[in-house]
Amino acid sequence: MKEKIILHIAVPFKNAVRQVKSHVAQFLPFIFALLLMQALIFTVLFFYDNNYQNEKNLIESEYDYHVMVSGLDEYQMLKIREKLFPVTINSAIAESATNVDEITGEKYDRITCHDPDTEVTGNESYDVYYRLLTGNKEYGLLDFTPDTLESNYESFLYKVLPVLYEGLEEGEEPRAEITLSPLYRLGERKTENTLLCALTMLLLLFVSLLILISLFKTRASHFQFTYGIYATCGATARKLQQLAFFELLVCLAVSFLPALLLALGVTHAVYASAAIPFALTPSLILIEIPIALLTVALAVMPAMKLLSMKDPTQLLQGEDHSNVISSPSRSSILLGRRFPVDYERLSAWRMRRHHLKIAVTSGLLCTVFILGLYLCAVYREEMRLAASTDYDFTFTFEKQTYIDERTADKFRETDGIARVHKSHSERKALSLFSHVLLDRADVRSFSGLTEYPKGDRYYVTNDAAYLCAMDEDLIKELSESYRFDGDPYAILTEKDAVIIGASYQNRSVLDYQVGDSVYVAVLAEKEPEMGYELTFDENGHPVWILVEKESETKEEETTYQDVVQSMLTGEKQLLRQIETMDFVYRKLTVAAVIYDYPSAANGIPFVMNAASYKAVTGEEPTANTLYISADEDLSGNELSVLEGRMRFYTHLFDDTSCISHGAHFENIITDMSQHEYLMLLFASFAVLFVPIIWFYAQLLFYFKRKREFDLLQSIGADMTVIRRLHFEGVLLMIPLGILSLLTAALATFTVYVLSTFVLPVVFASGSAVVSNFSPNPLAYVIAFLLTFASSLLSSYIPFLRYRAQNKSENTVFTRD
Amino acid sequence: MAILEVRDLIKQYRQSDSVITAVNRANFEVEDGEFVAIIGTSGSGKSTLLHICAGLLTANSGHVFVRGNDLTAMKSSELAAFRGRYIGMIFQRHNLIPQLTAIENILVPAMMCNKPDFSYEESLKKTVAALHIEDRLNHLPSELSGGQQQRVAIARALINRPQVLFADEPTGNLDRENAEEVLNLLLETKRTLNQTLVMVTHDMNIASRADRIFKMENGMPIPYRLDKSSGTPLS
Repeated sequence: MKEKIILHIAVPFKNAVRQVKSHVAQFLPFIFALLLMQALIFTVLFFYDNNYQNEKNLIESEYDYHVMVSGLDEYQMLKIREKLFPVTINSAIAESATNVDEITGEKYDRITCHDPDTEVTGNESYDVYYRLLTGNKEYGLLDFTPDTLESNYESFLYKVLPVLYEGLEEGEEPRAEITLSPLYRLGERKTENTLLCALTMLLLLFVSLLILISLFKTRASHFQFTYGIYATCGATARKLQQLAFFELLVCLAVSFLPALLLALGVTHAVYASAAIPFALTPSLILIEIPIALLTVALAVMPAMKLLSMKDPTQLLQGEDHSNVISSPSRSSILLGRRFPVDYERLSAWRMRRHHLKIAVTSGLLCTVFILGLYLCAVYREEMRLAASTDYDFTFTFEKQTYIDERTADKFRETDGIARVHKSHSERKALSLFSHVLLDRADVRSFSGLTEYPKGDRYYVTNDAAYLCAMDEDLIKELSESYRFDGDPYAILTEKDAVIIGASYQNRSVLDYQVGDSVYVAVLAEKEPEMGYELTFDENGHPVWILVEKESETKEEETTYQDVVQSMLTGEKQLLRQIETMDFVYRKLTVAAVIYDYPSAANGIPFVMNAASYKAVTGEEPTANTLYISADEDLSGNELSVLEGRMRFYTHLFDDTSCISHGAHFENIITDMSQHEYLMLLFASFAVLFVPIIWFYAQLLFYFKRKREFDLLQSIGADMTVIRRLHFEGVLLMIPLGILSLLTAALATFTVYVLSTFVLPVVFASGSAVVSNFSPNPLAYVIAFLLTFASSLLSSYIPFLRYRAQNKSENTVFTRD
Repeated sequence: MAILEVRDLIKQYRQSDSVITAVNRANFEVEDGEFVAIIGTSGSGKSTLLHICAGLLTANSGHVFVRGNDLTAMKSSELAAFRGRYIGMIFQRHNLIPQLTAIENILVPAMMCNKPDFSYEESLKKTVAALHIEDRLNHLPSELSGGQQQRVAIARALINRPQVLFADEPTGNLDRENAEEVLNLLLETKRTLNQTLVMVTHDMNIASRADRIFKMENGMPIPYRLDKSSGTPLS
């Protein structure tokens, strides 16, 4: 065994060390590339691990229970207590606790009593908290283990549910609720985090592999004479791969520590700038090693395999760039041409494979950079939108249709609540056998709406149109958050006025102006004759009241049933409806246009007053749900207190329900994750490879042309001419560099088009918020400057080196 | 009149702590139209001497005069231009430009120097015909045999009709038949164009056809005489 290790590992490694040491300049690009790659691997590992650790620490500090059974009455509480001993309490709720857990040292009591206003209701409500993990049998506690969390929960339910349902009629739901805490879902979060880390790592490895393969193929191409000698002496493909692998292994070893320090520094700086804790898990350092080794192995295998398939003689003959030259099979007439300008252009054309390869690789890396920054901006905007629209609780008044402002204000005045938003009625026209007619002149091309009649005046839609009803409070909220043309309040005072949205599936599709008309279809059989009366409520606000009149009901037509049962969908169903059913079109006048309003279903909103809404939908509008957002700086315990308060309100108001969404907590975790910075780092590392690619390829290229330059000098060229030759190379590479940038721009735009226009249509996932293509100009500037500098210097520095060598050797031609 | 004069030429190389004197106070002259061979053992400094005379290497001290012009006193641009107009160089290792075809390689000096009142087409036609490489003109160097590459290199050296042709073992990589052919061509060209030919060679048969021979000994070119009939040294 020992001999095998020495033979297959120690000896090749030692030889590789010698090789790298004696040709450091040749391996420097690999050392830099592997340093960046390893630094990024470390960074990704540190980020995901630290995010999970922070998330875990936050959850464990905020939640010490897995399950909460809330809203129990005294009998239920006592009954449950008989079956199961609760093992911990939420310390924010119980002000004092009497018992101390001898194992954990935590204070606990059996039950918590949560009812701040007992005097009001006369009923006490009990919350009981359970941890599902314990091994302490002395307290008669449940013998659960960490691996059986889910089955423990099932066992828990088995004991608790009978108590909750005791005495209830069939079909009746218990008042008490069972809620799982984030602590329970910690295992799922860990799995999600690990998967996300693995995906990111795969992407990183893919990019790293492309770069390393490109670098290594350049090396193999330029030094194939050396490999030809090896092959002549009997080196197999495996041997060549081993040689190359160990050379890169040495480079990997050299760059390991600097990469680790760089990653630590960057990660620490990112988290420190946001005042988020960062702690290193040492075992991650070891995880990086096999990942890096695998990448290096995969990078050398294809190049060496291809090399080994060539004849050694072919390799030996390729020492002088012959392998990158395209055989022309015809010659240029050089007489009368300019030297060195035409000469260098001819050379560049003949060696176009070399130049194109650099340009394409550079273009791909710039694409990753520009795209990375673009996606980072998109992510940042989406997080901002999510944070501004997420809410922590949904409070529904089941039996009411409208929540008055006094009720909403009571919630707003509650400690810990930052924002209360009332719901509104919103129905898809499709679900009402309705549709909307839009004037052709006001609809842009490629809107995705159906043209009807074809070539004539109108566009029609039923699945993109959302008929909404809003009152003054809701319009006030809208006007504070969104941009309008016109007066949105006009729908409250003007008959059949409407606020119309301007965008659909991520782009602007409608060009309506104030005063234009739209037509909403109402199925003839459904619409009674309607009349309006304007009146005023107790606050002096205008309200249109719908006055119903007697109407004749039409018999149902056969075609109506046919359409329903025909299983047609989408546009076909819509056209069939129009052609076979009777509709009455109610004209609505545009009072205002709203921009970038994300309606719940992402269609085009048509917002009207209650009367108009009832006229077109046949339904009373409702606003019976409050969306409640908590203060951002609430702790988990304070949030639990607030949740308790919400549930208390369900006792105060009859037939209400409260659902907790946990958005507050998720927003904190999202803020801590710093994913935006990880994307930025990824993009930045990609662009840092651009000069490495340029310099490595060009320096070797010009190094091999030394003999040619010497020869030209021997024939009559002086150093001025040689400098001009190099300059011509610069002039050639700069346009190629710009071309690579244009490729990057095109690729970014393609991604934008795909993600904004194509995929939303295919997967019906578009948004009513217009998504504009706004790439970061700084990204283009950086990519351009880096490419320009690389192309300039990678041609000019070889000239300086050549000139210095000539001066030191006092010769225009180096002897062999 | 001497077209080439070498006066007290010294060339030394430093290697680590030692100094190697490749050319040690060389003094000699070559007459216009003469064929001079320089022989010597490997490492005797003959190629170094040749390169200095061709203006391709700078000596530590001494002077080289070509057509009465002191190469050692010229600036680099002046020297380069002088080389292009009056000097031709044939290397042992061909040194063809890999991305250019045979004919393009041959025409590079013409492109560079562009002598007025000189018909390159005619020169090219004659040279190519004389070297028997008409059918290989559109091939890259990697597609030519060693002998063909050397012929292309010779053609390149001759295209500008230089007055002095320096050749560093031009037949070193050729078989006897090709070597003989190349030598005959060089001599014919020398005769036709009244060129001066200075050649470094190992081949005593070739050396025996020179007008004069110098042998490098201790870095100095010493006049050397051969019995032309037997090819053996006379002194």
